[in-house]
Amino acid sequence: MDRNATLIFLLWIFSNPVISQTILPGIVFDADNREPLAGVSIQILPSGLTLVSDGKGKFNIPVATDSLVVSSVGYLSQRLGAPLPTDRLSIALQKTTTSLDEVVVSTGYYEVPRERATGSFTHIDNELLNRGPSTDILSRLDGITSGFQVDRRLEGTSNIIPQMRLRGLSTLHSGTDPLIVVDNFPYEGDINNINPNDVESITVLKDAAAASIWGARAGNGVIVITTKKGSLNQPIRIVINSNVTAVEQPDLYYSPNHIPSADFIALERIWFDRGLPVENAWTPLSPATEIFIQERDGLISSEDAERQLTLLAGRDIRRDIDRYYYRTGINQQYALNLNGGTQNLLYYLSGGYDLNAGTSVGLQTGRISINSNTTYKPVDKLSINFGMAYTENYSDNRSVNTSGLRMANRGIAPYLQLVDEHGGALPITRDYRLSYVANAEEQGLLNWDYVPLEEFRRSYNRNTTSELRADGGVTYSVLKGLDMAVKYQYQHIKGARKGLQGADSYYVRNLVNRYTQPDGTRVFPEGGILALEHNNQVAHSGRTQLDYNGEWNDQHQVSALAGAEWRQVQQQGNGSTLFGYDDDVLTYYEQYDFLERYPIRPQGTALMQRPSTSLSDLTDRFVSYFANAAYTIHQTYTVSGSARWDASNLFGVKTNQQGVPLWSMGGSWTISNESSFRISWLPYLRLRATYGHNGNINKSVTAFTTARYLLDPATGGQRASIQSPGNPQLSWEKVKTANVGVDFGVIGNRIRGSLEYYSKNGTDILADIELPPSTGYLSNYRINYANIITKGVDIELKTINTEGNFRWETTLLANYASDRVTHFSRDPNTAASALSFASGNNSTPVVGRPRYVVMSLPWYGLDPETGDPWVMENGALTKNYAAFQRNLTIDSLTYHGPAVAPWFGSVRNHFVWRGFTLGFNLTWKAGFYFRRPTIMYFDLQNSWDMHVDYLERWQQPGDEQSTQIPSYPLTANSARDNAYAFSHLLLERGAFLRLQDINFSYNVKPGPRMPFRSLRVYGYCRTPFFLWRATRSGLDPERPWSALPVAGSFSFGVSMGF
Amino acid sequence: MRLRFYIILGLAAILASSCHKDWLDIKRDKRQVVPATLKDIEALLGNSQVMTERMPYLGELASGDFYLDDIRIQILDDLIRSTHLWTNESYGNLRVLDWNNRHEQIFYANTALAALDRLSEQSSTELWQHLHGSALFYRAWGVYQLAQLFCKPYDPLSAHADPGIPFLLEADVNLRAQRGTVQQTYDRILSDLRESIPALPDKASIPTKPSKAAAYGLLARTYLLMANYQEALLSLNKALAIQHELIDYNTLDTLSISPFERFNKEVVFRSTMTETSSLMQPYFHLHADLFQIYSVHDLRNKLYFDLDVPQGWFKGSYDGGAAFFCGIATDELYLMKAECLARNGQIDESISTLNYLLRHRYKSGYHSPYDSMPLSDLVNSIIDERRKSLCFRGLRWTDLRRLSLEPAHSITLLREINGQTFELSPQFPNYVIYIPDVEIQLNPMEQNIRY
Repeated sequence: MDRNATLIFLLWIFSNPVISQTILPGIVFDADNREPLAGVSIQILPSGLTLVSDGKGKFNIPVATDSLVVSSVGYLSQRLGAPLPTDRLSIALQKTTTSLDEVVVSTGYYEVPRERATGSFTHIDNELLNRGPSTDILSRLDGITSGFQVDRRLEGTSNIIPQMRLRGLSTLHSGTDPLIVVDNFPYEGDINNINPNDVESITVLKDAAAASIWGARAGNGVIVITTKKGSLNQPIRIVINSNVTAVEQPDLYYSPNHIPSADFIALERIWFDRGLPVENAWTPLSPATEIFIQERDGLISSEDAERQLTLLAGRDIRRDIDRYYYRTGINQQYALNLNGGTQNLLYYLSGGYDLNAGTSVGLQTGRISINSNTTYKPVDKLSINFGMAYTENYSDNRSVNTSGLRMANRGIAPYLQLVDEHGGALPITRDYRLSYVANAEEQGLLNWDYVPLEEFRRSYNRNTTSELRADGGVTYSVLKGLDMAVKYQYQHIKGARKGLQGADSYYVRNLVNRYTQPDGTRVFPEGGILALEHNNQVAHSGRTQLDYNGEWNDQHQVSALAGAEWRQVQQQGNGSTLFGYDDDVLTYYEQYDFLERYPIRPQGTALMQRPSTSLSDLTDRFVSYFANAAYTIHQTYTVSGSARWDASNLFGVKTNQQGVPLWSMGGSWTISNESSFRISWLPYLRLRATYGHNGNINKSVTAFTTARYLLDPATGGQRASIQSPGNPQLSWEKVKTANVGVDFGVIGNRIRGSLEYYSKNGTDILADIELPPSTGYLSNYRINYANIITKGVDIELKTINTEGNFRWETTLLANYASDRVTHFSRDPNTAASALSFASGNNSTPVVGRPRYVVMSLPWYGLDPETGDPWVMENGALTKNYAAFQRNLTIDSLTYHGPAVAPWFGSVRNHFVWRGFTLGFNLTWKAGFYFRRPTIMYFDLQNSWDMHVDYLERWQQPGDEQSTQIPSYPLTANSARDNAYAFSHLLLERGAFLRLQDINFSYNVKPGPRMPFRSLRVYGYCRTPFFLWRATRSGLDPERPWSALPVAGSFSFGVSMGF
Repeated sequence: MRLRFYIILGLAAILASSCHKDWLDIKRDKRQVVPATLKDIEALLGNSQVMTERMPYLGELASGDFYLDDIRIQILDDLIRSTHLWTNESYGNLRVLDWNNRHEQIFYANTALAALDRLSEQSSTELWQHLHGSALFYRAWGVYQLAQLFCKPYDPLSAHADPGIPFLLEADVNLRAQRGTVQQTYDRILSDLRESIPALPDKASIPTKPSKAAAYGLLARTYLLMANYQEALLSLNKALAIQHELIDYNTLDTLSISPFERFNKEVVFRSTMTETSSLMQPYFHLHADLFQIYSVHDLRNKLYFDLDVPQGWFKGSYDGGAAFFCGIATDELYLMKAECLARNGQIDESISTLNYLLRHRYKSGYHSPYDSMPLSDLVNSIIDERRKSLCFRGLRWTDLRRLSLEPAHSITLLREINGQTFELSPQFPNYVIYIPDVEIQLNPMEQNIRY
């Protein structure tokens, strides 16, 4: 705490009776957030003397004061008349509504007041960012950023990270994530290394005028993160923030991918009767099948079998998984920051600590961050900036995946039992029959049981990522208004992974046993298996920039900049695996004969596994030149333009040599500043329009015929594999963006908003063409040739419904973004692609349709005799599913709509009353479709992929009146399954309205007696509740294939300022 | 003022100097190479997976030495089913590894040939010569494999009209191959091999690499298919002059689960089929017709088959592992030589060649040599010995195809599945596999005909 302040504070307490005779202490603060306000002018009447509040909002006035006028920019002035209170004054100032517009947006190259920016920017201020306490910054943008949505369709089906989309789609195969910029330079690390507590604000650059300055990487938009800095002439401020979040344990009963144990046993009986299970000494058989066999072979009586099966039928594996695999997650977050400044020095220093115990038992992650930023101005014309940030992220994963419960080549039997009645952990059938592994130890092998609950903590996976980011800059004012700046950033990210499969883990025991020779020799060594990985990423970025800002006669404003940038990112990695590893003494075994073919158990022969090793070394280099200028006249008309030239070692030779410039231009007209404009209810009206070109790069393609060296396992020599047949014409994808917008304020600016229309025309989009296999290149060939157009509207409306003591604000976001593939040289009219369109996994687009489509096969009903689905061939109903599928064309499918919501937005309400705030955010999406999963008998039989629809299937004639789900066939056939699963019957409208979150806080009213400057307690609840959804399936329309629902969470925290 | 001037000057200098083209010419991924040097080409051709493994297995599936059981035949995909049962069912859009992988091999060979052309100044070096010969041999090997499945057997009467194998001779993915004729396909195999022979070493350092012996062996196979026994015999003599060793099967362990070593002394060129054991083994049933034709003291029976596995299993791969060997070995050279001699009327020489081989295959002292017999019987005997020695090497299908053109020696195959009988008779020539639909959709060409 500031020493002077403490002194005054103590003085004030002890000498109150004396001082009170001449001085009346006071404090002024923001009525909404109760932050003390510094620099507020307090005019004392009748003397006319004006005081200014100090850094803590405090001031002292003579007792003999009649009245006061308290005023500050951005706040409604307040007049306090006699009688004034005698002990102390606390004055709450209300914000003026128009003041919220005074936003400065940052592009990472320059900062511009929003009123003068022609482009499309969304600014997320600190308060909005801190609605929720998530430990990563980007998840805070969802639902509050106009035009931004996250495509979560594939969540839960694979490890695909949800894709961010800003204003729809402008690429087919390249990433859709926007470029992320942290304090002037593109950020190459894991965004989770940024502690949200260090972020001051975020600016989202959406159109060409905003983003073109970032050139070839700006096609998906840019997210500019600005971190906190100190302020000049401000006494030290300390903020402590701490919160804890409880994350709901996943609800396993949500998933429809289930068949009750009794029904599953009945199914297994059918398979057994048909002779499907392969019976030999080792091939694993499910517990029920083992009972069937014992019954058949007369080892147990039918009654015994029946009794045992009834026991199995009463079990539910989900109970055990729920109990032993998952828990309530607890996330803790602690942050401390200090900032302040003197006349020539600004400083910011922060530390953060996060500790998250995940919902999977055994998973823990954490983060430590230290951040500092200092600006020193030794003389007026020179400013030196130095910043340093260090983050360490770690995860310690000792959890066990439920996929370990799968029986080899099959799935998880719903009646599996993990513990016996006394709570003892039980082995389950995994890779071999229980009888095959039961007496392993007697044969001189290691114990071969897979006991799931004993596997916890036998193995672990630890990841540590540390990041050091240092940046420095010098700005020198060469002439009045002309600044020259040199900036440099160094970023070093080190990643390390240590994965250990313990010597007692099943994974190791299984390998040792498999390779144990008939004479008992262990070819595969006992001991742990250690996997080590190290990654190193070093990025250097440098920039020189000239800035000019000039103003004449209050009528002409010019700002211009030009500069150059160099950037190199080098990533190096290596990985190795050690067998026979002893964690206590760090020894391992390395004498192997990899060319000898060994007999393995239970049968066959194999070479000794090679411990995997890897090496990588990637270098990206960029050179760019950029310029940007804007001219404003009479504060009413603005024209702007930008240009950028990019070159990189990524592109084809031809592109590198030419370096096509990317550019933008724009203009705006603030109509309400015209003297002839007199509409009293419309105090603010501005039109703006921009057009320009951005780019998008894809690092996975290469211009050259390339091959990769590997070890040849047959000869032990070197071999090369062709990676790409090469493409000298390779270029970046180009996105032409047009944007027109209107900004307005109505009724004393109580209703403010903007309406924007844009079109993004992507050309030279990389697309895969399938080559005939006879070319010998069997992968898809990716070249620049497709076009895609996205058109959309962003509407943002903020209303102040009530003002004064009870303040109620509503923010409404409505976005429309619809993409259409306009050029794709080969119409994918093969039956395979037609089927992929119906399944929703189309890798190629259809011309004239959105990139991701929902289409369906025609449905002809069920055969009332057998429950088989009908298909049509040559105008007749048949059951020749294979032929039907073979002859499918894209024209025989029905198009329903896009798979990603074209309409989306949110309604956010915010209430403030006497220091209490309450907010909730409703998010909505509409206009899209999804295909809900159903029973696939082929997958049911082969991999035990279950679905509750099985229970509703056609079973006897007459059922076709009440169900359309086909009967269980004698021989499962995926083409038959597809006939139903890809029909329109499974399609659902995706529209929904969800209560995304509720937040509340209380700002304790500051007073001179309090030991802190501000105190805020807050809570936040992320809810999984839908207020409405179009589907009756009970599925989450955003992630219909996810087995687990969105987990709710509740957070509580305290933030204190000193 | 002067200071400002220098600062601006300095800045301009930095701006100007940054445009270093060299700085951008760095390779992004160090592991990626643009095949440019002889070492790169050697590594490309040294990719034994692409060049020598994953050879076609459909021929084995279509010949009669094993069968799939009633239940499992339904679980397997349409390609396997229609191939195994010789039906005319289309197999839709299934990926056909046998087609794709050979074209990939041809693409690698073409890429190597193009890179060698660019290094023609080194063409006098031994390495360049070896690589050039290898690339040509591998291309011939790929085309030969395709020609056993996707076009009709070589019939001198119709080879000029029957549609052949489409394949490219240049490494350019923008080109589209056309079918041509069976004659053109076989001519290309012959010309590539003839061109490769002078460039290749007599024997390779490791049998995954081509050699003169291998090239003569493949040349002989090709001439045999074309019924040019004279030329075949010339090639065989040249191959055997380089490599003629046989293993005495008495020295092998009949109880071993893999009795043959990889790269054993009979292997002239090592190549293996797509490893289908995981696909076939649980469903695989060794045909009794096969293991019952061996006489009691024939060691091939015990070394080739594991009859302890309930349905029987073939363990006699010359590659020593689970993958079936389909390369060239000296036993095949002797069998080809015996047949060519017989067909040329040199009956005695033929029989003695055959007996020489069989002496190495029977239990010591129990081999009863073949006596003189009429030509037709001799050819049939040789065909039988080929079946017994060369089973699961991809050669049985090739034999069935060429014999279907010879009424005297043709064979009819039968299969019974779920009470239904399927037949492949010489008059019912489903000896071609459909060209993959995907190929025809992307590169329109004439489809094969099955009945």
